[in-house]
Amino acid sequence: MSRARVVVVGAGPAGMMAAAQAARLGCAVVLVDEAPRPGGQIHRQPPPSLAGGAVSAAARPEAERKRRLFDRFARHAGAIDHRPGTSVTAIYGLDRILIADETSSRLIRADALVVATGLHERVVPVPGWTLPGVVTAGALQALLKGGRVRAGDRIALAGAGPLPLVAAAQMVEAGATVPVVALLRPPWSPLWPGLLRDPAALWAGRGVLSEGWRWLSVLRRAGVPVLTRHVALSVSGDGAAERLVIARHDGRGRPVPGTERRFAADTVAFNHGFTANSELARMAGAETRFDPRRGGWLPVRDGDGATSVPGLFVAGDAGGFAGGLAAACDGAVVGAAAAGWALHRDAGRFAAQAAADRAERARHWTFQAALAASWELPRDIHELVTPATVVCRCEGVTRARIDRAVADGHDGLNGLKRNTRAGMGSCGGRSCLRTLAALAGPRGEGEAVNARPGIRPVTLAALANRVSDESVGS
Amino acid sequence: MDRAASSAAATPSRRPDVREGEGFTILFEDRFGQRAIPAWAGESVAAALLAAGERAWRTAEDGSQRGLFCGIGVCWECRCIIDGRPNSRACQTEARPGLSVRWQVGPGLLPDGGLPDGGAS
Ligand SMILES: Cc1cc2nc3c(=O)[nH]c(=O)nc-3n(C[C@H](O)[C@H](O)[C@H](O)COP(=O)(O)OP(=O)(O)OC[C@H]3O[C@@H](n4cnc5c(N)ncnc54)[C@H](O)[C@@H]3O)c2cc1C
Ligand code: FES
Repeated sequence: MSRARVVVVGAGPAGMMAAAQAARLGCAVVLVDEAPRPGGQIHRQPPPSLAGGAVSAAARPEAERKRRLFDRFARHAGAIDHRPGTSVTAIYGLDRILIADETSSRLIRADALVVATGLHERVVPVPGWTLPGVVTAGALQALLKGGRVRAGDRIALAGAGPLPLVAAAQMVEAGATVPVVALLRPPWSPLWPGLLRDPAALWAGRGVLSEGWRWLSVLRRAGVPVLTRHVALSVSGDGAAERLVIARHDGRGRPVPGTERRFAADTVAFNHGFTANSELARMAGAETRFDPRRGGWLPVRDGDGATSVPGLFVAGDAGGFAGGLAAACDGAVVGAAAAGWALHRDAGRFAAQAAADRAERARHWTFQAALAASWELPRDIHELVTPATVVCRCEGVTRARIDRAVADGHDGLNGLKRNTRAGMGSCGGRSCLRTLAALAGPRGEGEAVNARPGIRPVTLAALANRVSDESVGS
Repeated sequence: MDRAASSAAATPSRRPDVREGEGFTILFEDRFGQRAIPAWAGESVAAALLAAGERAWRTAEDGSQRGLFCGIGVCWECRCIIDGRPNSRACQTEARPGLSVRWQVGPGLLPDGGLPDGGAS
């Protein structure tokens, strides 16, 4: 048990590359991932039993990126103790990391820990968003990529940034009718000023831009209306989603009277950007800052991914949205730093080994910095959350209840959580914390939100069945 | 919502890209009774339910119905009783031949108010 050990959490592009890099540099590597197969959100894989048909022209760039990533991973996979279907549920310190699968749990230790947990979607609530048939745009993709199932037959999408467009085009290719894609603003418009000032960024982003263009062409050919400067007002239906109501907005997110339009749909998908899965880093004590565009509460990290906690590293989108390409490069950089730390207490030791990835990462980061503006939500967007709208889906806490608590002086995110129980349910606040922060008054978003052990509910059986660390990663 | 009609119309066409794979059935029991749902090896329970036109499989504490939301294991909206275990996430559980899915009410009860007789939660 004496080999220096790097534990990597998350087997998306960032975690796969970090694990491969650390293994290559001679560390014992444990790769813990909740999902049954590696790939993360972007390269979610169907099981072999569902091998699919042809890849469309628009889907080809993503398939090509995936092939390159898996090739690189495969070269070192033999030296990695990969534990799929396993969650990290608590970090009490680098020497006490609690991991659990369905039937057992164990405490493991790490000389260096890389958190590469990615992010999840942010949705701004509207009346009716808890109806069955209302999903996230990523849920549509997950069903299609992971199981080759189309969630509905008539699918309307709304939100911000590029994801609703991409998901809509994928649904069209999967045979769905898409009556509308309603976006708060055109995702391409905030892009140009930044890119035109910075030709290097434009060049770095050419692949993503042409991919976006191909997806837009799919929508155009199918005659799907893409309405920009539109805001979702509500979803309604008898017991399940039947229609989406949208309206033009005034630039601040307030609907322009008389511009409402309704679209029949059996499925309505939203996405308003992303929230970084930074709980583990926060639980381990890492300093954070708030960045509304790139994922909310982000661990503060340096160019090696090192956080304020010695030996704790963050890689990929868990450190803020930068996309799958940047995540893979970042993983290779951070994996080298973590290996340097684990073996020599020197994160810079192997910097030269990751120089090419570092340079490529810089190019993607420049492009993504320009793209991030498309997740800037209009200032008054939360005015549309009516008093009766459920904000915390798990505990059923409404906007009215939250406003009352804020009026009573329970402003600030942690106070609001304690007083209303919003954000304290099964999902650990992941569906509502961003909304709560926006509603919590001036202190809301700035306040470092607490993360407590047990970010994933663990079965009692697994907790009772605690096994020793001996067999891990040796 | 006319459940039978929407299911019948939805079943074959919502798997646009499956070329090979093993089909089987899982059992879904809601307040109205039990029925067999087609599923494919490797897909999630949620995928099978949605492909068959089911959109809800749980009643929340406030009485509203819920089904899939995030699809990636984050939101816990898709909880249901799978093989007797309440609070199982349909989006994170792979379908297996003969698997049983039951509608969950509140913290983990059956629609008739009874306790499921499966494993611990
Ligand atoms: C829903 C969704 C849809 C997206 N769609 C697109 C798209 O169409 N095009 C595009 O270019 N980009 C898309 N992105 C962005 C893209 O997925 C990311 O940029 C990329 O995947 C980042 O890689 P990563 O390795 O940092 O994280 P991820 O790929 O997210 O991987 C993180 C991994 O960590 C695991 N994990 C998280 N928490 C734990 C824990 N506590 N214990 C164990 N494992 C854990 C997860 O299971 C996951 O496998 C999407 C992102 C999301 C969330
Ligand atoms: S749908 Fe969110 S956890 Fe299953």
